[in-house]
Parts: sequence; C-alpha cells; structure tokens
Amino acid sequence: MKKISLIILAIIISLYSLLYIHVKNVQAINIGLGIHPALVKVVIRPGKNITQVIKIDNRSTDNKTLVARLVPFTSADDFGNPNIDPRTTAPWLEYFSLANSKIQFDQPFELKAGQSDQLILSISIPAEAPLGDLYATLLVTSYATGIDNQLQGSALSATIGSNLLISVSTQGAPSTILKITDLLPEEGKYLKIGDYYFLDNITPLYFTALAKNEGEFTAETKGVFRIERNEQNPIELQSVLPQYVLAKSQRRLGTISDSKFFFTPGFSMIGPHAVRIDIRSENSNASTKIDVIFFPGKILIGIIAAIISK
Amino acid sequence: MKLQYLILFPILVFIFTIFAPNTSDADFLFSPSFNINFSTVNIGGGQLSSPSFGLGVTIGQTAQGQFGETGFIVKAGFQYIHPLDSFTFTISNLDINFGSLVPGTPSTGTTILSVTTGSAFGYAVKTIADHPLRIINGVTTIPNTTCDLATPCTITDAAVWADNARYGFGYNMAGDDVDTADFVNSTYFRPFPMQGVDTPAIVMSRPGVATDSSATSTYKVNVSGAQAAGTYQNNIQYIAIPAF
Repeated sequence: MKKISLIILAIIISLYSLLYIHVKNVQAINIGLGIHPALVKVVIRPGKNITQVIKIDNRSTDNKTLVARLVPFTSADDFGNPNIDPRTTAPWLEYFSLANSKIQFDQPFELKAGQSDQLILSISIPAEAPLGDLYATLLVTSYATGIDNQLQGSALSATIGSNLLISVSTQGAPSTILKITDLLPEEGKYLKIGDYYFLDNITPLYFTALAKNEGEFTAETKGVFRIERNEQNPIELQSVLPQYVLAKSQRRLGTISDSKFFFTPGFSMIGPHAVRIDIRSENSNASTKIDVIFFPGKILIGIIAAIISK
Repeated sequence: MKLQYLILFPILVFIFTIFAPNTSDADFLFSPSFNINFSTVNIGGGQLSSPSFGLGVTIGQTAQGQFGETGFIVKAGFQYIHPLDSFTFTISNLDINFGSLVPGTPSTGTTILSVTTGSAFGYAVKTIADHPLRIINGVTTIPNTTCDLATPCTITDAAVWADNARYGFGYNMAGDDVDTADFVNSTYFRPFPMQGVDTPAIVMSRPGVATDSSATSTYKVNVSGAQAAGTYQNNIQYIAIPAF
C-alpha cells in the first residue's frame, strides 16, 4: 500500500514538473522599457558644462542588454514629432558623453529585470562653439548578439528615446521670432466675406492655428486663446498648451486635450466677435486675431425653408 | 407675400446680427478641458484645473538670474503636467516564429506594441528591418511583399494582400493609434522598410497623451514552391519616440 502511494506521488510530481517545464518553455520573451525624463530643454552658455540624469527602466520579465546612443533629429511634422535617422551624425555630438563609470555610448550594458539605471549625460559646450540650437535624441536599444538558429522568422528589438533641445546662447532666454499664422475656423463651417468669417451660432466649432518660429532658437507657446465681444469682455478663455517650437519650424497650437481649440457658441451669441491668440513666453511674444460674426444661420435656413414649403 | 418674407427675414437677421447689443461680461469662464480662475482676464499667472490634471501657468521673465550665475538653465520634462511619469514602450513577444513554411499557404505571427507617454505630448512608433527574411549563412531571401497585383503596397502605403499566389513578407497593424485610413482591415499589408535603404516607417502615432495605447502587429509570410529550403530570419526594430 505504501509502495503504491509512493508511485502515485512520484507520478504526480513528474506530471507537475513536466507541466511546469512546458509552460515555462512557451512563455513569450517580452520587453518593456521606460525612460524619464522624455524631454530635456537646456539653455547653456559656450564654455559651460552640465550633467543631466536620465533614468532607464527595464520593465521586462528578464534581464536585458541595452545600448545607448545619441542621434541628431529635425522636426518631422506640426505635432512635435522628431524625424530620426539612426544613421545620421553631426560633429557637435562630441559635446555629449556619458559620465557613468560602466556605461558608455554605443557599448552594451546589462539591466536586470524590474531594475532601473541612470544614464548621466554630460553636456560640455566648447567656448568657441557657435551659438544656436542642437537637437538630439538619446536612444536606448535592446541588444542581441545573434538570433536563435531555431527561429524561422523575425527577432524583434525595441528602441526608446528621450529628446534633448539644447540652446547654446549667451542669454538665458535667447530671442526668437515667433508668428501665429493660419488661425482659422474649421474647414467648411464658415462663410468668408472680406475679412469677416460668418459662423453659425449654434454649431460647435473648432479653431486651428500654427506657431511659426523664424528665429534661430527654440520658442515656447505659453499663452491664451480667447473669444471676445470686445477687448474688455472675453467670453471664452482657453490656455494654449505650452509647447516647444524648434528654430525654423512650425507647430500646431492647441489645448492639453486636442490640437485644436473647441468652442460652442451660445444661442444668444450674435454679432461681431474677435478670436484671438496671444503668446507671451520668456523669449517670444506673438499675437493674432480674426474677426468673426456669429449669426443664426441654421435657424434662418429653417425659417426660409418653412416659408417656402407653405 | 412669400417673396416679401424671403426678402424681409434676411434683412432683419443681418441688422440684428450687426447691431446686436453686447453680450454679458464673462465672469464665469470655462472650457471643455478646464475651469479657469484668473484674477484678471489678461495674460498672467493662474491656477488651471481639470478632473485629470492640475496646471500651473507661469508667464513672464524667469531664470535670468540663474543663467547669469551658472551659465545654464535646465528644464527636464514637461511644464504642464505633474507628476512626471516615464515614457514606456512594451513589445509582448520578441520572437515571431512562423515554424515550417508551406508553399502557397501563408503563415502568420503576432505581437502587441504598447505605449504610455506619461507626461509627453504625443509619440510615434516607427519600424525598420535589417534585411528581408534571409536564409541562415546564405544570401537567399524571401522578398518583401508588394501585395496583390491589383493593389500594390509600399513601405508607407498598405494595400490588400489576399492572393495566396503572391509571395513575400509583410505586416498589418490594428488597434490604438494606428492609421486606419491606411491599414483599413486585416487584409491590408505593408512591406518593412530596409535599414540602409529606407527611413523607418510610422506604425503607431498620437498627437496627445497616451495611456497604455496598444496595437497588434500581424506578420505574414507566403513562399512559392521554388523557395529554397532552410531557415529564414531577420531583425525588426521598433523605435518609440516621444514628441518634444
């Protein structure tokens, strides 16, 4: 009886072990990376140097070998996405280095599962460096020495990045030339006569606008979107989302929830109004305004239709 | 009579529109996103709030003294959201194993890409492959798909690939922050851009904050009977970059 019990126990242990090994083998290898901060903006005088810590998280279920590198970028679109070509290089990349004792650019380093490490980014601007902006992305890529010979297919790798906006300047807030252009109501929702935009007063509206930076340094877009009956009577105020506009580029203005300004006029809101955007930041001032006339267009059309149908 | 009405109403509305009295002053300011409590309605300091975020507005001259003393100013992260969280990117499965390939019968594999921007403005995930699927220790490749003959696709334009007599390797995207005007449904595929030849192609993007945006990438390979036997491999890189 005791022998039978031992055999049953041995079978159960064997089956459990087989199941456990089987499950372990089919578990997918994943990767999860985190980076913080995702954006660093620096204004630095030539001849100065600073360090900035950037934290890397390994959120994967296993240890990962990673490689850090720096690549220049340009503005890709009106939404603040960088255009990155990993093959691109620039002589000013020599201003950047890692002050870590064990981690260097383009050299693999290991980060244990669930652990974080700090990349100590050193930025050292030579005294003779030209004034202007430098845009780079710190890329951290999962690294593999080779692909398993048994794999018939693709091995995936992950890269994550943090953007660096560096202004080399002798001033803390280097001057820029920021303009607000293309402040317009939503396409198809207005009738333009002369300089006036006629808008229906019961239709929800979007307004869009662009900030164009014609200067040599990054500009910021802190400010206010407002609709006013006159300058003393604003009837709608929305904070413009503070964003960076790279030198010689443009960016779509918006709020924290959208890349447009949403507004629903009231039933009693009739007559001439102004839609205005004012930007006031440390290094850039810009303002623009359009004149709109709210009128009960839909109601008018309804009345006319009713009269005609009589 | 009707003609008189037709002329009279637009004239009255026009007069009413132009000469309407001023609307009442705005002492109750709001938007879909924020309640705004400015002490004045001019540009200046204030505290903005919404159910999701607190926003400290700082407008004016700052940090000049700091720059004068130290020669630098650092702003890490985004001014408008507290606290500042990490930008994270996850791939659920790093090995896309098609197993044995059967000529004329497509094989597929999937993985899930997930992004949380934390306090970033938005993001884009791009992809690029080191080379086409290539036989180990050889030069023979499985070509990148060009999709169906009637609906050719490119590295930036997905198109229908449903014909099993069309051979190659490509991918489909579905889920959050995927361009559904391009990847219309699960039959739409693109070939991967090639490192050294092409620039990475966007597979996910969003202009605003993303919290655990997830999309499924489906890989499809279909070989002809003339394809040399062997194990074919490549490396596909996904690059997740926050907006600035």
